[in-house]
Amino acid sequence: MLLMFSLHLLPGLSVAAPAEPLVQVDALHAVLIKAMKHGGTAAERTALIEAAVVGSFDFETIARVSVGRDWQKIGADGQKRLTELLRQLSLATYADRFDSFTGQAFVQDGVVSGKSGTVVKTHILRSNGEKVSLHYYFRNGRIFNVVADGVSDLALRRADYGSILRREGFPALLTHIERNIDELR
Amino acid sequence: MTNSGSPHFLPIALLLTALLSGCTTLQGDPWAVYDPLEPANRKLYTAIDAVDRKVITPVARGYRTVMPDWAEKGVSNFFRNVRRIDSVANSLLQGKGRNAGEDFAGLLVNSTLGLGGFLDVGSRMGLRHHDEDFGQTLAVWGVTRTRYIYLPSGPSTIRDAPGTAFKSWIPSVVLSGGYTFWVGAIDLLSVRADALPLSDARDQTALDAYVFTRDASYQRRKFLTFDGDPPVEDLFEEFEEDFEASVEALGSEAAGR
Repeated sequence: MLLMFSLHLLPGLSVAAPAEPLVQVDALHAVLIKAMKHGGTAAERTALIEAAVVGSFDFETIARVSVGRDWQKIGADGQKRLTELLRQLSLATYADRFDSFTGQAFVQDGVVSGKSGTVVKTHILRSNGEKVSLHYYFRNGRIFNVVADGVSDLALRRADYGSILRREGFPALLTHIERNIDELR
Repeated sequence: MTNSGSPHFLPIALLLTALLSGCTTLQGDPWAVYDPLEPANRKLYTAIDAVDRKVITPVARGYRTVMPDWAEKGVSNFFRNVRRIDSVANSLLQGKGRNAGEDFAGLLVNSTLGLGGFLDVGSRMGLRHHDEDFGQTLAVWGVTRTRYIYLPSGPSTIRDAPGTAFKSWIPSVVLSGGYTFWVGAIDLLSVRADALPLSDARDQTALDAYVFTRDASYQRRKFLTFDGDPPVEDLFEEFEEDFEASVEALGSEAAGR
């Protein structure tokens, strides 16, 4: 749920390769600090972080994994709608969680590259000394998963959405996500 | 007479046998969620959650409002310090001598210089809390696959529940007669108040709170077992299976046309 300066907004640069994972995470953290220091309304913070979040995250991959085998069943329109809703949900979540600055700092803990992708390890250091680890998982140059203190956002989303899909179906899942977004805004 | 024949060791041996036999029958990913009792677990979760929302959470919020920050932190520090002995013992059981030493030194420093544990002086001296428990010890010993159970105290597993119960019981042993009903109530409130940010995040995010809580607790236990550094490849591999499944589904659809 995070991101980087939007190359997509710059005509002619939309096909440029994504920046190095470490650079993307640094840029994302810089924007989050800026939003926290700004405070203001959720809409103002969303405007501040939108380019960074949209540019760094691979929302199609997130959407695809979130519904697993149902990805093909929901069709192109469903895929497009789910991807868009997850983009909006991520923005709303970031704008809600990073709403005020109380001395937090983002600290880099290193980069681990494996055969499947790259992990950028960081943590948030709060002013009271508490640490929350944040690991960003990259695949094909973009973030598809954030793991906070061991809890994977994507794995949790997949389990959560999978339960709703089995019990209530895809239209209900979309309704739930839309409600989530509205509550966060 | 050997230790195993001692009446003191018999209950422990029986418990371990039950735990190990209960976990070794499971097949599959060592860290996957195993919830064969989901219908019963869901019912209990729903009932406990209703009580939590109507009674415990409002009281915990009131506690947070009424208590000055320093006092709230002090109470939390005190009970965490008392329970640190569990972390010392389990660090030793896992062969983590350095962690045991840090926790033991932290316990001593906080109990003395920290005014009985109300001040976490040890952390300021670099003596980290390792928060080991018997469930993690069993996991380190190889008991990874374990069935989920929802308890009145929260999410747990067959493997973790005995250690959690023991950890909850420690203050009543250490404080003996001093652990009165009201002290126990404050202990409970302090634990619940500390967890408010987590339940708030759940309420903001979860569509199926039961599944969200269960899966988050499994992931968190794995994270703690690996001391905050689980293998990063695991999550890549887990999602690779999803990509492959999507491709397979696409292939099946095409073949069916």
